[in-house]
Amino acid sequence: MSDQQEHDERNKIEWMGIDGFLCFLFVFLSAFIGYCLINNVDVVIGKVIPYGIALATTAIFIKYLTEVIGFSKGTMKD
Amino acid sequence: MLNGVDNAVILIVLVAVVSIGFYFSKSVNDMESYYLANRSLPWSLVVGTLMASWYGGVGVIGTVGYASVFGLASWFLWSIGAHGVRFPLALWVGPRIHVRSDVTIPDVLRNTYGKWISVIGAVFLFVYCSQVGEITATGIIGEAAWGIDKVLLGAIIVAITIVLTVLGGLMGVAVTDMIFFLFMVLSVSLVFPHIYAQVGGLQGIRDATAADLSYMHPVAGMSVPKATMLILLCINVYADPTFYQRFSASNSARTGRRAMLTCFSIWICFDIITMIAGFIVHITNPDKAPELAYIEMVLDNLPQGFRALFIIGLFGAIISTLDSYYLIGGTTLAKDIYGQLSGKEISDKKLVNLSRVGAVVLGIIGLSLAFRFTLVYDAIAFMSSLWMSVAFAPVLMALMYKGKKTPMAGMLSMIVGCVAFALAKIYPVTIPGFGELEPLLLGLPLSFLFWFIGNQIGADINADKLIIS
Repeated sequence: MSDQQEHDERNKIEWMGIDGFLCFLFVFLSAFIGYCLINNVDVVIGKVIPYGIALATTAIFIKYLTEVIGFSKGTMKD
Repeated sequence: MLNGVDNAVILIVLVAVVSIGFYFSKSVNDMESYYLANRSLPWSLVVGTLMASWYGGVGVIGTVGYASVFGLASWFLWSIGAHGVRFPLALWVGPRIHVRSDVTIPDVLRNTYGKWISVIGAVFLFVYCSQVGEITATGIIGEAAWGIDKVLLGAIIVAITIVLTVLGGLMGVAVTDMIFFLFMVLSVSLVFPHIYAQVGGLQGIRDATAADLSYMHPVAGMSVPKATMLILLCINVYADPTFYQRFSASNSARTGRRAMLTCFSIWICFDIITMIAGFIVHITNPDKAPELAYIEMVLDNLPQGFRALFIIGLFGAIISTLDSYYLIGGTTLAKDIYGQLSGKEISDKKLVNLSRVGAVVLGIIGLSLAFRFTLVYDAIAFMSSLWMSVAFAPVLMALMYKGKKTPMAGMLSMIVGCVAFALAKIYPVTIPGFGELEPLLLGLPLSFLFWFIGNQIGADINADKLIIS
């Protein structure tokens, strides 16, 4: 197997895995938010989405902090 | 306006973030570590730096401004459409970039069309990297926060950006990007429920805009040409240098792809917050510039100290975008313009130092141009349209077209795209029933057409090489 084929195999899109889920998530969020906008669902637009984004970003930030600390230790050693 | 406590918080946070950039400068010892962070960025850093560098000051206050004018259609047509057209980029185009050894756009152009097409592309890329719209945005924020001179504030922001870029390279940029982005998202998101409730939610907005039924209609508020134009500008990301850099710097193609797919879902949610904020300022401050009214409204609704974090978040978003482009622009000047024209082998150390000089030059160019534009979006639309008319077709075809690609295809595509854009800008064309033709809508199709015409002339310079498909 060539390097290119190995690379392609390793990075294949997993439609039934995380890649497919992330694609579906975008479609779902678009349809769900659209429904809420048309039908005046204030609890979703006014609370769930802003607090949800704040939580998601904070979670990514925490993961980022743990990785940056480990990452910086690695790069400083080099 | 901000008070002494707010200003003290801003100063402390800025010193802390610049120190972090300085700390990471210690890991920069060659071009690979400066520009690509040794191709080792994990998922969380790629997500953070993608979100922060693409959702700049224009992304926040520009979206508020546009949504206040076009209403609900902004989200249904522009937001969904803009992110939707980027899916092929994350799924198929990005992974192809990651596997290539040519990691910058001029690299791709040189390897496909030859040295001179690459140098021309690099010059346009360098100008595009000045990102004058972001500096223009600092004027609006500074006026709302302190009422100070916009040129002075622009100079301070550019100076901070240059320090971060010059010191840390991509690693410093990626690390500080995420901190700024967190402040911005938290302040914008957490103040939103309060201002949303104040106007009575969606029904309150509908009642206040009842005189114009199209405003809260899912599609009626924005004309088809306008929506087409905005979505077209969003596919600019296919030829955006920061995307190429981030994808190449991620620790695998899979990481880059998943980071970008994650960003789409976060962006579509964040868009609705900024857009509804635009609707709110449309009904609460109809006579004021929406961007200015939004910042003042948020400052009025946040306690002291927290207001500082909002302003840091906004300026951080601007700095995040600017430092990303300054890093790429500086590298372009050093490696792709000076390096290619000199024809000499340049050491890594000299390349890094020249890149730093390039970042300073970009800051000076940006400052001298930024305040010639009255509206933030005018500056962004001009730069993006010009860059797309020149480079979008040759770059995309170089990456995705599997057949022969000749230097003449790249040359004709760039020249015709540029000339068509310039002519349509200087001599505006109005089409009955369609309105004024945006220069990009002429330049881009002609650039593609002449790519195919030019591709019939000459030979493929890679005909005898193994082509990775």
